[in-house]
Amino acid sequence: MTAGAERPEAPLKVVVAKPGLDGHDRGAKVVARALRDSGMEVVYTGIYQTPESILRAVVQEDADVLGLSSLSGAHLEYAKELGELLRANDRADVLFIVGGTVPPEDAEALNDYGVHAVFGPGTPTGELVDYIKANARRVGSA
Amino acid sequence: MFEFDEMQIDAVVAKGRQGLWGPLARAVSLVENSPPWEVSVPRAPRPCHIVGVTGPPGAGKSTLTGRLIESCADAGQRVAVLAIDPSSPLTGGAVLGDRLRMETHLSGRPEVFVRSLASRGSHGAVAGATRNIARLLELSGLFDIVLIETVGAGQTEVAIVEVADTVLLVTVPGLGDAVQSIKAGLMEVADAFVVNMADRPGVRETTRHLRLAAGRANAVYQTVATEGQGVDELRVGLQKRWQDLTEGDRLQELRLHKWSSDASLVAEAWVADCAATMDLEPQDSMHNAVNRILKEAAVRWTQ
Repeated sequence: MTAGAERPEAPLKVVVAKPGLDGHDRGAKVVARALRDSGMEVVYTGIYQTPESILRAVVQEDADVLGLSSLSGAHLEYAKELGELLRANDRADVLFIVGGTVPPEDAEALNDYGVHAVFGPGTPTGELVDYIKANARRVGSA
Repeated sequence: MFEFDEMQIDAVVAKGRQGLWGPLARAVSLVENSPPWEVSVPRAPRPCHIVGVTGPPGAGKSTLTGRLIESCADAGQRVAVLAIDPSSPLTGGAVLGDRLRMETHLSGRPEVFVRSLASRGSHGAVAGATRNIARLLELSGLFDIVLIETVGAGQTEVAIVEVADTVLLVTVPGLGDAVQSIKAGLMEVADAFVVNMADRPGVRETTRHLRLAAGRANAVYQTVATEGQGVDELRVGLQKRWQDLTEGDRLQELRLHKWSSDASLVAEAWVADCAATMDLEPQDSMHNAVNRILKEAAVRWTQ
């Protein structure tokens, strides 16, 4: 039953998190704002997060997308652990993105861990927004 | 229209008891993504204490809520939090930052359920959805206390916290006058006041001010949320209030009273939703325009 026009699809929900000891969160905040401005609902969990706390945020918030920001070089370890946690907790449907200083040669390993896309420094935020809109809620159905 | 059936609730409860929050989180999304008139949450066999936490921006609500989580959990209470932040009226997007300030109090407490919500849509729709989500958390039987946190900046927020059994108004020293004059609506719905950042100058004046306004000498607490000071006293006060409410018929009366305002909120949301899609002639008189809106809303409701 609807009072008005067709109801639009619910906004995408994105968890943006920074794992580990790297406290450089300007990039993550810029991304959070850009996603908000494109109509998404962004839960920013802040710096120094553990894989467990990030997983908890994804599960409790019922997120469609997880964006991990890493500038410390520890992206492989965290992505591997989070990929495993997502699968073990029935959330392999989450679109899993890593951003930050990631050497191109790591992309393949990240893919194996369950990361769907990697965005390096200098990526225009519009590109990120377009990627998320095209792929969120479609993981595994392609 | 959907109603949660027993099987769905059973799955939520069974997983929730193991600290697995996926089914509950999905059930919350289901309610969040539906207009309030399309959701029916059965009444819970056992009530839990629904507490609204509100106050002006920057008063430290999230930090205080984080400390309350800690205090309640350490006292053996099972806690859920709904943290509501505004959606942008232009883009519909939102940055939900309350979780960030609660995060340190969540580590090592996987039994605590925290959900951020964006205040999508109209005033009545947000309040209606929040009410339904709170009722769903209550129905799960997984929680003793549900904290609803929202910035106290206007009528929408008053409507949101009004679904609570207990409304806490959080303020800071020096804001007493402002709170009283600007947030008149909030002052009236508040059941207790918290003067946070009570290590700052002006705490005594603000406390006195609030005591005068509240007319109840025991309903003003002082806290320093960043240090955790005064939080246990606040938690004990909340427990005491819940005891008072649940002994005898007070809670039932209170909720019956809120029920009528809940219904009018949903009605309001329906009418607003309906009016948004109508072409109203600007040259029409206000009376005629309202007439058309109400008639159309009634017709669509019965369709």
